[in-house]
Parts: sequence; C-alpha cells; structure tokens
Amino acid sequence: MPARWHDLHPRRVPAQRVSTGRRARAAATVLAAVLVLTSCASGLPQPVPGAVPAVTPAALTVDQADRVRGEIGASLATADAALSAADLTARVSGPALASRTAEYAVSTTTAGAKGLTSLKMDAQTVVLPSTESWPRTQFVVTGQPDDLSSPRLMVFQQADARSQYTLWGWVRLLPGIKMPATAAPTIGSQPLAADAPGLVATPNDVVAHYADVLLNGDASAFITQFAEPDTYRQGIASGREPYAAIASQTSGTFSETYTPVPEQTYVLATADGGALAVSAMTTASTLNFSGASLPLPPELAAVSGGALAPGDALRSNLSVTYSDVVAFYIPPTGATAPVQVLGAEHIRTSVTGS
Amino acid sequence: MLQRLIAIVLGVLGLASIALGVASATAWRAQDTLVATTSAAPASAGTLLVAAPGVLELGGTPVTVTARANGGTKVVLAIGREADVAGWVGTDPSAVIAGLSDLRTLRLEPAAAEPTAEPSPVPSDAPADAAAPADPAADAAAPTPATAAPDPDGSDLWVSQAVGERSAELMWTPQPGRWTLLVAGVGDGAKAPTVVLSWPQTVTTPWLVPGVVVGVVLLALGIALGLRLWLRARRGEQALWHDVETGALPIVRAHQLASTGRGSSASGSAGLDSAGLDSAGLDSAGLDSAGLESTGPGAAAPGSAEVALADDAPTIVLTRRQMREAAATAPTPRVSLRKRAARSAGDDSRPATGSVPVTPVIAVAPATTSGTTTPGTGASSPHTGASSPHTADRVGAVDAAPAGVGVAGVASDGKTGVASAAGPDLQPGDDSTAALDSRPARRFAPSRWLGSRRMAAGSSPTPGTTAQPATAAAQSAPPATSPAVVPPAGPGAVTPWVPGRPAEPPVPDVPAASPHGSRADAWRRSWGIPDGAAAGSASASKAPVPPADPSDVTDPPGHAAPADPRSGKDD
Repeated sequence: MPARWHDLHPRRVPAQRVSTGRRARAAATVLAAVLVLTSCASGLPQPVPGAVPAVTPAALTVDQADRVRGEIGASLATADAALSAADLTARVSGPALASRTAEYAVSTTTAGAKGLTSLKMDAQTVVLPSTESWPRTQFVVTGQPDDLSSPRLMVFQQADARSQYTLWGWVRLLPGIKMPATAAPTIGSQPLAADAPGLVATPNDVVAHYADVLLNGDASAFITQFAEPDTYRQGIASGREPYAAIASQTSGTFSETYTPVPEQTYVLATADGGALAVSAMTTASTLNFSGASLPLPPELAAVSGGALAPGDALRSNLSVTYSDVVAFYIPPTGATAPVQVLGAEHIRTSVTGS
Repeated sequence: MLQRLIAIVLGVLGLASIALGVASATAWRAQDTLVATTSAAPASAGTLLVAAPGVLELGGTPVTVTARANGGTKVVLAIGREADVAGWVGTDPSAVIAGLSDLRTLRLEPAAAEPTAEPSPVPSDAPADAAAPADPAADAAAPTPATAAPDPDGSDLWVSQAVGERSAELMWTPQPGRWTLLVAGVGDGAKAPTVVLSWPQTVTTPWLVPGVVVGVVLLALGIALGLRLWLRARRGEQALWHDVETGALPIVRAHQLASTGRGSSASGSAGLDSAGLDSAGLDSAGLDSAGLESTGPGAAAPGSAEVALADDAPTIVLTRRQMREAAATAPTPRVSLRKRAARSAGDDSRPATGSVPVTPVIAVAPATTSGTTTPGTGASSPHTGASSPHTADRVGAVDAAPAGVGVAGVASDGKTGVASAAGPDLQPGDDSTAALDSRPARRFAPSRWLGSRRMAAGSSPTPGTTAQPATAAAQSAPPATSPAVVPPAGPGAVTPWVPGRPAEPPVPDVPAASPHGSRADAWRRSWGIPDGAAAGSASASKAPVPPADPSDVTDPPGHAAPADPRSGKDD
C-alpha cells in the first residue's frame, strides 16, 4: 500500500495542470495499479479444508439424531393411527417392521384389545456410531412409555448412504438392569463387527450361546457365560409350558427353536471396552397334537396372514413364529462379569396351523 | 514567493491526501461480498456437483450458496460431512468444485475416481443384502435414483439443505469439521446446476483515516502559511510593530487622567505614559520606574496627571540633575500657584484635589492589592514629589496617591471621583466602604475593623486595615488641599504596608530635593519631615496634617482618618 501512496502523489499533484485526457489516463493507471496491487496482495483464496479428524467423529450430530428420531416417530404415529404398515417401510425395517405389522394385525383383529407396543421417541441416552461407512447403527434408550412398561432400547439403522435411518428393532429393557456407560453422542461409539474380538465372546457367539441357553436352560454348556436367569429367559420358559401341556395332554409334541438371524447383530462399543450388541432371533414353536381340537385365539389368527380365522379349530398342528430381538452387554476380554441380557422383545409374527 | 509556493503545495498535497483517503474508502473500496460462480459444468458431471472441503469456507463466513437449475425442475443444496456426501454420491457422475479459478469463477474438476465409493460398498454389501429382504423399500429406493437423477432431498445425512424448484439458496455458517456441499439437479433433463457462492468480505479502509488526517494537517499547514503570508502582506512592514505614542508621555491632560481614573483604573497607555513621565520627571533611578511599573500605571498616573496639570510642557527624559535644575529654576511660581490656589479658596483647591483624587484611585488600587508593590508606589510617589520641583506636582502626586487610595476602593464607582472632589468628610466614609466592598479585605471585615482601630491607634496589621488608613489619609489629604495633604498622604499610603519604608525612602530623596530651596522646603513641609519623620505610620499621616497650611482642613481629614475605619467598621 505504501507503494501506491507514493505512486499516487507525484501523479496526483501535477495532475492539476495536466490536460483532462492525461489526467484520465493517470487515473486509469492508478486504478489499474491499485487493482493489481490488491489482487497481488490478497492472492486468490485457496480452500483450506478442515483437518481430517484423528478420530472419526460421530456419524450424526445430536441434532441430526433428534431429527431422525422425530421423523421415525412421525412415521410410526401415522402408521399406528392407520394400523397400517404400508407407509412404514421407509422408516421401519427388520424385526421392528415385522413386529409392528403383526401388531397392527392383532390390534385390528382384536379390535384394539391387544394394543401396540408403545414406542416413544424421547431419548434418555443416545449411542451414536463413529463411522463413515454403512450400514450405520445407533442405539437409543427411550424414556419410560406411558403404559409404565420398561424403557425401550431402540436400534436405528441406516443401511446405505442413500437410504434413511430406519427403526430396525427395539427391546424392552429388563427390570433391574443397568445400562453400561457409553461414549457421549458428540464423540460417538465405535461400531464393532459381529465377530469382533476383544470381548469375552464375539457378539455372534454370544447370541448363539444365548439361543442355546434358551433352548437347553440350565443344561446349556454356556449357562455360566450369562448372568443369573434373566426375566426374558424365564418368560420364554414359562411361555412354553402351555404348549407343552397341550402336547402332553394330546400325546403330541412341542418343540421350540431359537435361531439367531444371521448378519442381524449390531454392536457398538461401550466406554469400558465392552460392547452393546443387539441381535435378531427367530423363535419357532411347533405343536403337534392329535385327538383334540384347538380353537385358535384371535391374536394368533390375526398373524396367520388370513389363512386362519379366529376361533378356527386346529386339529393337528400349530406353528408359531416369533421375532425376537435381544440386547446384550458383552464385557471386554478379561472381565469377570458375565454377559448380561439387557432387554428383549418377543413378538409373534406368524402363525400357521391346521 | 517560495513560501507562497510551499503553502500552495501543502494545500494541494493535503487535498490530494484527503481525496485519496476518501477514495480509498469509497470508490476504491473493495466489494462487500466475494461472489464466485461455477463455470459451465462438463457433461461428465452428471447432475451432481460437490464442493471440496474448504471451498465453503474459502471466502469467509457465512457462505451463501445459490444454485440455478440447468434443465430439470428441482435443485437441491445440501451440506453434509465430506464422507457422507461422498458416500451419497457414490459412483454417480459428478464434478467437484475445487476452488477459485479467479475472483469470480469457481473451478470445476472431474470427480476423483470414486474415493469413498470403495469403502462404503464393502461394509454395506453384507448388511445391504441382509437388509434387502427385510427392507425392500431401501432397495427399491436405490435403483430409482440410479435411473433418474439422484435426489438427495431429505436425507438424514444432511445437516442443512435447501430445495427449490428452479433455484435454491442456502446459507451456511461453517462449523468445525470437514463439511462439503452437494448440489443436485433433479428432474427430467437435469444437469448440474450453476452454483454461486458468495461470502461477506470484511472490507477495511485503512487509508481513510491516515489519508484524511495527513491531508487535513497538510491543508491546515498550507492555509496557516498562506494566511500568515496574506496577513503580512496586508499589514505591510509594520505588521510586527506597535504604535508608540510618544506624545502621550508628556501630554497627559488632567481631565483625561481624571476621566480615565474615574472610569476605572487608568488606562494602560495612560498609566504607562504617566509612568514614563514620572520616571522622566523624577529621576532616572531604577527604583522609581520599577516601582511605578510594578505598582501599575495607576500610581504613576496620578503623579503624571498632576504633572500634566502643573505644566503641559512635554516631558523629556531628564537626569536627576537636570530635574533638580529645572526645579530650581521654575519651582516657585508653580508652587505658589498651587499653593495659592489651595490656600486662597478651599473650595477652589478642592476641585484641583478633586481632579487629583481621581488619579489616586489608581494609586490606591495597587497599594491595596499588593503590599509589596504598594510600598514601591508609595516610595515612588514621594519620590515624584521630591524629584519634581513643583510642590504642586508633589501635591498632586501625593494627592493622587491618597486619593487613589480612596478611590481605589471605589474604582468601580464613578462616584468616587466626585465624592473625593466634593469633600473629604463624605468621601472617607464612602471610600472606605467602597474600598471594603471592592477589596477582598471585606472578608476579614471583623479583624479589619479591629485592625482599623489599632490603626487609628497608630499601627496597621492587616493589609485591609492598612488600606483603610491609607484611604483615610488620602481622603483627608485632599481636603487638606494639595500642599498640606501631600505629605501625609504619601506616608500614609506607604505606612500601611511598610511603616518604616515610606518614611525612609522619602528621606533620602528629600535630601536630593532639598538643594532646591523652596521646592525642598515645600516637599519637606508636605512630607512633614521635621515633625513626622519619626512619627511613623498613622501618626505620621496625622502629623503631616498640621504642617499643612490649611490646618482646618487637615483636622477634618485627621478626624476622617480615624473615622473611616470606624465607619467601615460600622459597615
């Protein structure tokens, strides 16, 4: 700038005695010089990208997570009001979609006697993934629903970049459990693979072992891997009894299998190096009997896909399929604590029989 | 001529500086916004444009993104994480806004060969397959954009987005992290939209203030210089000279003096002139002139006035000897004149005194104001008397001094002069009060009264008191007529401040004057040297009175003197 200053003066001062044309030329020169100098001085702005974070940040901002929950909640509310899952596909997927669809059917069939699982979208805790790849999964612990049932642990998932987050599944937190500490949502929790090492057992193994425990009870080889019998397991066991009774009365058979759904285990690391794992399972109950007639309850008929009507008499067999979602806390390697079942959901999704 | 040229150059430089400073902040001010537009997107860009990380922040904050559709119907602007945008774009054709090619154009580059396309498929493959059966919608959605222009509208990935039919605008305040912009043209025949990024620029005008300040300074300098030259030219050579009214020294008319004295303290010029006169007429001794000067014109003025009265002859600076000689030659007639006038008719003489008193005012003023100066004045006045051959002069001087004292208090009052002229009796009271009023001494009124009493007794402790006695003396003096009064007045005026002093200086002077026969006698008489040399302050003032011819007159003043303080006290 000083250069400009000095340049100008000699020109400017004598300019008074100079002809107009020359003055104009001088002015033009000055202007040009100014432009050149300013452009030279500042240079062309170059993009300065922000530093690549050393640690991958959370995939969503808290605001984004809130927005996602809000949209899913709105979508659910619309579907709930219509008892139709037709519009749910954009925002609900996986076990959640299957469960909700079944619930709509049951609720419709029973004229609301059997209600819907309350799903509130207010979050107590948000566990966001720190990842830049897909699918992305976030866990949310909701507040207590209006029916005073236990809070839900919801799993939201984004399958790929161009799809939206969907409600993949939810579990009811078991009474008395304590959620492991997780990283703050602004930091994000590292997503782990279903076979991730560093845990007392890989999530896939944990799910498989738990299925075995469910099946075999205390006879399971993995019974020690889990904490004291959780209420879910007890519920499953107690749920088998009526069918077993029927089977014994009718000299039939009853069997139930618990099968983890492959590739449907989502894991996020906890603060202590352990993992939160949410896995989908399928429970298949098969009752074979003879010499008896079993009137089909409406809630079972509702999920039969229209094959069966409420009150239909079954004479030979009944197959019920449940969609299960189970959440585990898997301690890190070396921990003495057992794997803990945090919550589970068990919803009948289909019935066949004859 | 050179100076004029310099002034002009300074002025022109100043104006130029101001003009440049202003221009730098106006005409040459940089744009408030930096606006850059994408050049035409290559066909390979498809419908998508992606801003490289940092481009959004390149011009400042916040950035306003505007996109206009080039074909198609819908424009989507979205801001997301770099990875999210890259993941969303995937392998679709796109172009990258890489930066500025110049200040108005954004540079487009072909997208890097699927930088993030690789990682995303790998992890997503398995889940995608798994999810596919469960969520057919996801799969259904995916192929749709593949065929048509992909629409990022509403994706959960974006932290901010804007959608418009033909154009869209989005303002983005950069946040920490690597955020990028995705611009998509959506609809049939959509192409990559034209993107305009604009950033607010903080435009500074660093040269405005310095330019204007420097310019103003230069201009002021030039103007000042020019003005000086002009004034000088206008006033010519005398520009730096003051008029010296030499004539004033000698020719100070009595009435002039009186008028000046009455109106206020004698005008500076008159005082100066009179001072000059005194010094001239009296003696060249530094004492006198110093005293006169320091005292102020007033003190001198009276003397000069008298002198003027006595003889109009212009005064020439005389040596003491010359003055003595002059005194010796022409004293008598004047003295006699004066005396005669005074003696013959008290009334007649009074007018003279009346004129005199006016001047005294001045004398008093200094006296009262500063004790130190006053003595000088007192001394000077006596000197004058001594030096001046004419008793009348002396008288005048003396009169002036006392009268001055009286009047000084009254300075503001035009009345004073009159009062003094009218008669001492009245005056004392008025004067004293006036003096009290005008003087700060008023504050000390009580003490002063006490002092005044004491003074009456013979001593004058406070300046205020001193002033009073002086006044009294002065007042008394006038009535006593010039000759008689003179002596007392002089000492009286002096005494208050420095009792011993006044008497002393006069004494040495007296001898000087003494050689001049009648002059000396008259002076002595007037000063009461024989009687009152030892007398001292207040008593001295009284003492002189008797020597004065008009003893009758003296008495009243004598009474007046003591009375004054009292009256003042009463006030």
